[in-house]
Amino acid sequence: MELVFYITSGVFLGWFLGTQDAANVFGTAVATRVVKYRTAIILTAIFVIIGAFFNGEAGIANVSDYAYESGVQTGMAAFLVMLSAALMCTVMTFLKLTVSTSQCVIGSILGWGAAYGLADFSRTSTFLSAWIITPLGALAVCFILCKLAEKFISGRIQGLVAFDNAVKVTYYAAGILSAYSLGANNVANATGIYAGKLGLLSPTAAVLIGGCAIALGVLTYSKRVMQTVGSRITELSPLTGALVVLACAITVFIYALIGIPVSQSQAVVGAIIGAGLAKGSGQVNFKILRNIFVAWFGTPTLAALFTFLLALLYKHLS
Amino acid sequence: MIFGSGKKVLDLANAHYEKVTECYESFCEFMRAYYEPDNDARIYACFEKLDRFEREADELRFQVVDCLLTGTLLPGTRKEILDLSAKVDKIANRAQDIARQMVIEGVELPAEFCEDLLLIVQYTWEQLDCLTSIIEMLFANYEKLVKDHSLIDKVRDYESKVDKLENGMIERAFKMDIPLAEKNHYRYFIRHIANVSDHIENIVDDIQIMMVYRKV
Repeated sequence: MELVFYITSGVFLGWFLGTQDAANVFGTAVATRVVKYRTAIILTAIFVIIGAFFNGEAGIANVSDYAYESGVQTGMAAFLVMLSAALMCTVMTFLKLTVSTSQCVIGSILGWGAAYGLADFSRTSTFLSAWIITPLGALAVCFILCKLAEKFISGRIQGLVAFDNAVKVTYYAAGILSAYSLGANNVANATGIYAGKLGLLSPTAAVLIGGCAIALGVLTYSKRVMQTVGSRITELSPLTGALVVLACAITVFIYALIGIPVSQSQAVVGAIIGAGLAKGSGQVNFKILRNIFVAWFGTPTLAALFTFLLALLYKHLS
Repeated sequence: MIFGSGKKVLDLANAHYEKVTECYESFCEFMRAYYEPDNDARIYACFEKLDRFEREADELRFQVVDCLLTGTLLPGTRKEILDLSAKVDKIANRAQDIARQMVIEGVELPAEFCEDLLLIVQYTWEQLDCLTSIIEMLFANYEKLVKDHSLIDKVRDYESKVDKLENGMIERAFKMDIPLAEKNHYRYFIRHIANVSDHIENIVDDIQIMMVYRKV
């Protein structure tokens, strides 16, 4: 029973992650009515679990190791760190601020570590540099994909029906890969802290429970976010919209293999800029970039501060 | 179903455009018959043929809509095909409308306008022929349409010629020694006939916008 209690905050965070990040997976396809909402959430849920199971362990190992070295060495500590991260995410979403669960979790772990004199800033800076490179990487990948599409698709697909089918296939493929990457990359945010040296969960149990928590979030509460956030990139042409999603999926998957949880939402912004550059438009929405910049530093800092205070309170009470 | 029956929609759409073309061909025949003396029987026969083709075109357009309602093709593409069908259908509607007015009201346009009017109708028919080829390429050979603008330029050239003929006739009408009401009446009919050409050019403009949006 204690184990169940300790992992509830992580499961809640996983559920929250699913409700928010589903929009980056099939949001555009649903908003433009290429894919039905019901089909989208079922595919997302299935492939999130598959992605978590097959490629989630690298992230789980990395986060669990980081957490243990930062002083998260008991079940209660893990519960409180994840609770803090979950609360920060919920409050920031409520205040309509951009939030990344990866940045909240890492910030919370850092805050806990700081309260116990075990904060590992050099390792934190590794995560930070990955977050900074993510939108840049997505930009580059999307730029390349758009150029390849221009060269190899533009002249090859002549018929209207064939073009339509190519767009549909790309949306489905991008969505499925994106869901897989979401599970593979972000399962570590939900349950990574409980695995590894802490040993509350085995790596297999961690990926399955985390994957299922994310899938549950997708299935139960993603509709509103999917329809509002998903329409954000519909100003692009149909095929370009699909390529943006594909670029994000590839970028996030690469980080899943490395074992660093990153933000899909920030990857989407980078990919959209990449698509714009490929078309020669070069227009950048500086307001969105400013929000990302603030998120890189602001989100983990706020999460760290909150968790630091929570850790002090816990130390005092225990 | 992911892919649906997109080909069926395009086949129906193409059948609709062919029917509109037949309808306008009948209108050309009608106009030639109208200016031949003592030809009432032929005029009515042409008008009935035109009327029938217009109804058949409408029927085909409804079938296109029914097919689109099954959810085949992307939403954006469905909208494009729907808009295109509606606009092309207006060509048949206008031809029928002009012919009906001429038959019911017994409109008598001066014989000196005959040659120019028949030329307008002929040029408009050429434009419609180009338009159906453009639409065929849009559906089946998009890249060729992007590279080769000759058909689009032809539509615009014919439209300029029609404009010149239209303005020339209206100018002559207003110089005639006839009441103002009659001059306005002639102007109305000349414009009404020439506007089909403008409408075809507008459809081609819309097709170019579709091409721009479709570019990868």
